[in-house]
Amino acid sequence: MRTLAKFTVSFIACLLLLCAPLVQAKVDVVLLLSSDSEPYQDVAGGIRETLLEKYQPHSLQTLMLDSLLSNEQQMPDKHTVLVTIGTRATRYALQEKISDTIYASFITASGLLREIATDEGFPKALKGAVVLDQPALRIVQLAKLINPKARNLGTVVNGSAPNRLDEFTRVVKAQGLRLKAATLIEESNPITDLKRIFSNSDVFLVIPDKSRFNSKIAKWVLFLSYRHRVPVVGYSQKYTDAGALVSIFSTPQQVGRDTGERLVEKLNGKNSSTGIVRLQYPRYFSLSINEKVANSLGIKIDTPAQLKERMRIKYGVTIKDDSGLLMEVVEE
Amino acid sequence: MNYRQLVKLLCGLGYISMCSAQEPVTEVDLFADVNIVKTGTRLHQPIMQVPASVTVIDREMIAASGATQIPQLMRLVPGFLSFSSKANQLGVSSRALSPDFPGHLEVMVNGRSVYQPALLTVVWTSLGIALEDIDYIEVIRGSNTPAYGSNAFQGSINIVTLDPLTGSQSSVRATAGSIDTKNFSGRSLGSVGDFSYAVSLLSNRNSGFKGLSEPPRKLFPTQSRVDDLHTTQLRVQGLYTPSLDDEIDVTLGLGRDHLKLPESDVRGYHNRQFNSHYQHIRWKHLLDSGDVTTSFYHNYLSIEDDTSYGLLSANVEVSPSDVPLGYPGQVDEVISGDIQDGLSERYHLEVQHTFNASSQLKMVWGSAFRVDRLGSRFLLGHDQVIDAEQYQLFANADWQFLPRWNANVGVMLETNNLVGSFASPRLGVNYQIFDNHMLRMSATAARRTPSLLSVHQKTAVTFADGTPIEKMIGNTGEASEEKINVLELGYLGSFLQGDLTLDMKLFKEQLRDARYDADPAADDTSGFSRVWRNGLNWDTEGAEMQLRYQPDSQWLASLQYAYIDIDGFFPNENSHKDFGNQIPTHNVSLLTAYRPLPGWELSGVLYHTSEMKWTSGNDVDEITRLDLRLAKSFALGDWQGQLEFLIHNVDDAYIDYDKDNIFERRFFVRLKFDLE
Repeated sequence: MRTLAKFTVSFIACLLLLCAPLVQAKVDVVLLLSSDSEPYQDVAGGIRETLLEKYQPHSLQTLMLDSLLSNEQQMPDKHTVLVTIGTRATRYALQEKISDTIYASFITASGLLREIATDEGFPKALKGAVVLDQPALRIVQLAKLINPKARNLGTVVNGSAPNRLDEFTRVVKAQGLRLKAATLIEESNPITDLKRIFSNSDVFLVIPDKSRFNSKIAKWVLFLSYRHRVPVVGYSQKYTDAGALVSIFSTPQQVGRDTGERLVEKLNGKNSSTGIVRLQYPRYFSLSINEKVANSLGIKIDTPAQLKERMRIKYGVTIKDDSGLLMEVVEE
Repeated sequence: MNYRQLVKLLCGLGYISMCSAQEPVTEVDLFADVNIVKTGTRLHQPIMQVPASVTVIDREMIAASGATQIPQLMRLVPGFLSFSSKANQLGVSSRALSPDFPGHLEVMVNGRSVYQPALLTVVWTSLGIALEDIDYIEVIRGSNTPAYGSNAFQGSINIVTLDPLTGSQSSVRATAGSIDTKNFSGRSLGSVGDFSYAVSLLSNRNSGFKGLSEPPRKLFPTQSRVDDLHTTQLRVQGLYTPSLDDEIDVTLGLGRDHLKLPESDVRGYHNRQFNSHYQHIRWKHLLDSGDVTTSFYHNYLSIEDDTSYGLLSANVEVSPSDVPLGYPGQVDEVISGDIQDGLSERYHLEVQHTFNASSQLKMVWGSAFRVDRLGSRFLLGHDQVIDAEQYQLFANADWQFLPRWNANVGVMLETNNLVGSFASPRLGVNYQIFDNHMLRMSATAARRTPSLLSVHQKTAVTFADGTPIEKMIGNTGEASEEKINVLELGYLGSFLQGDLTLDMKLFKEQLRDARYDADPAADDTSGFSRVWRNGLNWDTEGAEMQLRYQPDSQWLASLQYAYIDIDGFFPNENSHKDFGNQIPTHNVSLLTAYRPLPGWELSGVLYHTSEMKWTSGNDVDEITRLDLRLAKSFALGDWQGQLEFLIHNVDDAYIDYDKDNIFERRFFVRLKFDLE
């Protein structure tokens, strides 16, 4: 009898141990927004929706950075899972170490790395990040789709911040193409340099830089695109509206949804930490096309949905980027 | 992997900026506006945030319209009228009384005002712009004085030309057809070192309204009464970007118009020549957030008239010996048109600073100094050149005070030596109901300075020594600014993924103290038959609508409609004369273009204007006009060609402004060649 009792107790104990992860308490999640403006709210909305649908955290709170700074809202508990949305919120959270578990979202790769670089030590609290940039490979593949005969891609970068030129050079070369690039410094004559690039390029890629640099060159890029009849691949809907043939970008809603899904994976233990910060490109992205530009350039181009489908068929659902970072093309 | 290794790896992946002292790219940079053009408020604004109704006529619409002159395009703007008081004296007006010389609209070419102080209007034939030079035309429908000053009293038109970097490498156009039309234009691009340029040349010729070629003449039966035009214009536009931060545009123009302007059955026509030139330089310096733009321009127009009207005695139908009886101390002499010689000049210097005070607040402010000069013995009664100096200080702000809510606040302060100082403020609120659907409400209280001419005018036909023969238009010596108060409620929406856009507006305008040439007062001893005076008042209410539908590259349709109800009186000591229908109640235009096969295009524009009475012209019945165009594109070696057949006014003839202006069916053939 005693043996049976011991066995029963041991069995129940084992069962409890085995089931422990299943009944693990749900965590508290706090979203910290850099600003209350629409894009940040849209990211937060995407995260909230996904978390509530697929995880149901113990609590889900939204804080504004400015409200925290002015003490209008209380600092979250250090043990909550903190999702920072935007550069300002990420910088503050990392510098002030307000949580032991931080996930960053809606931040560029270079912006995130700057926050890491300025930290005194390894930011152990930073468990993962979904960046806003599009991977170079995705952009180059799009360029090849809109002009399959393209041999030379062109771009310019800011001399004071060379940014992603090395990454693009490597990816373009890996795709069997050549990159014609110019580095513009403050004293550069932008028209002269861009004319040289455009006259030797089949597609021009706009690599997003600081908005000041972007606006300095946008007008000339778009004017010369017409002049040389070279299509431009931009990085935002606004670039398409201004005159780029096509733009590739992730919307705040897409970044929010992606962040929410990756967070759920983490919280469910499906994607355990490897000890390094996983910097992930957004899985969801959009394409926008300017049909007027297509007509005036004499280019027949598919709809955004058709283009995405062709990207999926031609390049697969999951692709390993040259940078070694996981990139996925996911149909919405 | 430790921190250093991670940073090293990521630096190696190309994220070099993190390793430099430069600020990294942030999400704000990726979502920032791509500021290519400024709108009619001087700010970089999405159209959903502009505090006014805007019509943009782009190159596609210009081509589809089949227009042969720029003012014809204004029929594609709700509520705008395009007319010919003489065959080649063209006018454009909006909700204003319709004199020969409409002056309540600011017309600009790349921001350069082309208003002529001597003529109180715009000389459309002297603009020096061919239709093919135009990139787009932006029209602000409604008072835009808070942004562009007095002359934008009831709206502004900015004609934006192609940049020296855009358009074909070389292009030539030739148009021939009815009324002896022979138009030629050419444009070529090039560069010298880092300097890019475009050279344009145009020559337009026509013989005006056909009916006028046939006299009857009273005094000069052998002289046919004509209203023809030959204009030649040269234009050079240059662009230099010495650095990433600096952009310098220079435009130089030179032109000559030979016009025959019909006068009356007795006097025949003016044989007139306009010599014009202009210089416009603009330096834009980019800042961290915004830019500083400095611009200077000079417009010059001289008027030469070599018409001979014959002896005074013949004109007034008396014997030569009777002339001294009517004009003591004078003898009969030939009346020469050279008394109408004159010059009109404008100098304008302006600095404006555009910046983002925060992510929610865009601002522009600036100052301008302008000098208008006018000389004409005929118009002023003396040989001296007079001038008016004007200073402007302006500011406009676009503040997103709540998500989806924008407030636009603007003011223009002006002071001059004609009427002193006055201010024109505007307040507008835009509410984005949901994405791509916006409601707008705005209130504007604008002021307009009288023109230099209307303050100093003493027009008279004189003997060679200056003694007046006939005093025509003078002034009372008093002048004050004209006033307009405007309330607008607008909606702008986009449907079907942007294929269809709808712009609607309800408005109410109160115009007070408008300047007009009135009957002289009973105690007026000046002897002028008309005198300039403030005091004309009218109220206007109405609605405007513009709908554009472009489902694909094959189809384009654009419908414009305006309903206008005007209520006003001509004040007079004895009676008040009702305005009646000085502005047409209904004004519609519908443009449609269809490309059935590659290279083929069929387009047409239907215009309808309800009956009206032109203030200085005649009563005209309702007008319905249909223009058609058939175009075929083809390649000829490296050249892209296009042959067009145009029919203007397919149906019966109509009266354009004046009973003598019979607009009959017209046919044109246009041939274009472009070298890419």
